[in-house]
Amino acid sequence: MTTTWERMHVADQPRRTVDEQFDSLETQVHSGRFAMWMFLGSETLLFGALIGVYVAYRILYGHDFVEALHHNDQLLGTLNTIVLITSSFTAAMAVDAVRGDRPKRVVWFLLATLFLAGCFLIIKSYEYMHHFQEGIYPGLQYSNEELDSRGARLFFTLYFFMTGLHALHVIGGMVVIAVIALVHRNRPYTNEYYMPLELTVLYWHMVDVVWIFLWPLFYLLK
Amino acid sequence: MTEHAPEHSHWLRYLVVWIVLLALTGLSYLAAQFDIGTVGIAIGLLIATVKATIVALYFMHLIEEQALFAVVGIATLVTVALLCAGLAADVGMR
Repeated sequence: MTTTWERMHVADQPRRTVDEQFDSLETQVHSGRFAMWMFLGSETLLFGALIGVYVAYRILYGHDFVEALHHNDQLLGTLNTIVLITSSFTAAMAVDAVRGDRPKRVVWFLLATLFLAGCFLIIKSYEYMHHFQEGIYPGLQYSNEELDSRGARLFFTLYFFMTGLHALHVIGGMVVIAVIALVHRNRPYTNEYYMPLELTVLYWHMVDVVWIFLWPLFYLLK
Repeated sequence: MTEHAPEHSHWLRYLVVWIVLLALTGLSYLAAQFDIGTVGIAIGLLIATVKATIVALYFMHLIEEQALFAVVGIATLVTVALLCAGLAADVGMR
């Protein structure tokens, strides 16, 4: 039974030994992928529940809620959408590269994904700062006079909470992608076994899909 | 996933998917410039669902997987849709 350290560093050790409950490595990887899909399902339900809150508040507060929506910068939101969709593309290309046993490309595509994720966070931070300058904060700190209704306040609380939670997912994803890139540089994943990379990229696609829904909710649907 | 021979790249497929996603993003943005009320909301969410499905099918390789994997995704989306519909109906009638 090889140790993790040996598997990571010693070239002629197999990348992954099969755990005893599985018939083969293929079954194990398949099982891991399914488990990841279930986890992504649970994350989708997390954001789905929040979208439910959004739906309820939008109906309850009607015009006041929607009026606050106009305050968000549609162009920045759209730019962020483009950035994340492109990062999904580069992440998918990283998996494509590992399937083709092109280890150097894997690193480049992962770095590109990280770069785009960083751009997303920078644009988001700029948006948040702009809101803060106008007295728009989540919860009690809110002090904007123009959009003072309950509906507007609830809109922004939801906006900060949901995009903030999403941003935390982006940061978490970035950390894992960076770790995977380092592990890969140390001992490249190959088409024979690349499950950690694959699952990481699956997570990243989910982060993109969540934003694909957040974008119309908070920027477009007036 | 344990094929040992490296595969050839499917880069064109991913590139096309990326372009389609960008095009749908543009379409969504364009549709949002017109004030068409509830229909506008339906269109926005519909386009978002189509985009998410494309990401799942091609970027996440769902189209290559067993149907069981799709059950997870579909069940999740149906649950969220029912939740939102139920909330809308409840709150909307007060």
